[in-house]
Amino acid sequence: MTDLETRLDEALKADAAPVRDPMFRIVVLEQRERAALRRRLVAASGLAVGATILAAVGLAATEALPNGVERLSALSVLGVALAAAMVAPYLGGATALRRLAAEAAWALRAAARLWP
Amino acid sequence: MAMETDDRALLARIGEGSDRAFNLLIDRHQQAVRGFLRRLMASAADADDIAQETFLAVWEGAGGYRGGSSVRSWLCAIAWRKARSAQRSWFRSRARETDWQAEAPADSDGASVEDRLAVKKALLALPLEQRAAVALCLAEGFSHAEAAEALGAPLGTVKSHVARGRTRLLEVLSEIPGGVSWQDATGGARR
Repeated sequence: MTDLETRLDEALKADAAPVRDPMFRIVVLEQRERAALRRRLVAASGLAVGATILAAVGLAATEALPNGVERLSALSVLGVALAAAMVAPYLGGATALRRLAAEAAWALRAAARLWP
Repeated sequence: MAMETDDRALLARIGEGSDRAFNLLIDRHQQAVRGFLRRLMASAADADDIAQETFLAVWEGAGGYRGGSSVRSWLCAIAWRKARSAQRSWFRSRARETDWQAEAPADSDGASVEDRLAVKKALLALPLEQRAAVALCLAEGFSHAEAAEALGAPLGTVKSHVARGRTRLLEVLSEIPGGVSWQDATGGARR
């Protein structure tokens, strides 16, 4: 390698990025969380609209039922459906449950490998 | 080879939503992706922005990896597509053309300040494809085949880009006599 080639090599290598920069990882994770939050807000807004329509239709439907156990049951089901719809975006919905299950499976496999 | 298998396993786990695997992938490949982008773009801040977008894209679509290339090449291919589309934006591109002048070189051994600034300026003057090939092969240590996969270009084109780019950079360096090292220039105060 000539002197010129060595200088070129050194000049190119001099501007290398750090091998492992925890701050970079933290910024990526922060941006990921922000993107997830934006998606949840959009989902929550959509669900709020859906829940309002569901409540209006559900209440109108229960009006037709006679007072008693049937109407109470219908109102309870409606209440649970509304609560689930409102809570789902904060839990991350099905994706969060799938990820939780995958993490649990990985932890179990790791524990099984360590078991004597 | 074991590292490559490991990387593929990491991607599979990222696809399942594993935070741990995602952290590991970032730690393992951030240097290659950021180094490539820093040499491709005039501003280190812009380069890091695109590197972050690259890793976010991996989180969103880890299942998009088809296994035809190494994970490192696949990551650089995503980074390359993002950098190229960012480069097309006239305003960002204009800002980047002048940003490099404001950035002082970071502390390092060996290379002189003149050499580093001259190489950086000459790199930025190369056509984008040629610059990308030089950044991957000469600075990041990619093979020509790996660089061709990352850039989505024929192997012969990449080889030609690297050879021409290298010749141009050597020409620029030959116009600078010796040069002063960064430590000498700063009186050895930066330790």
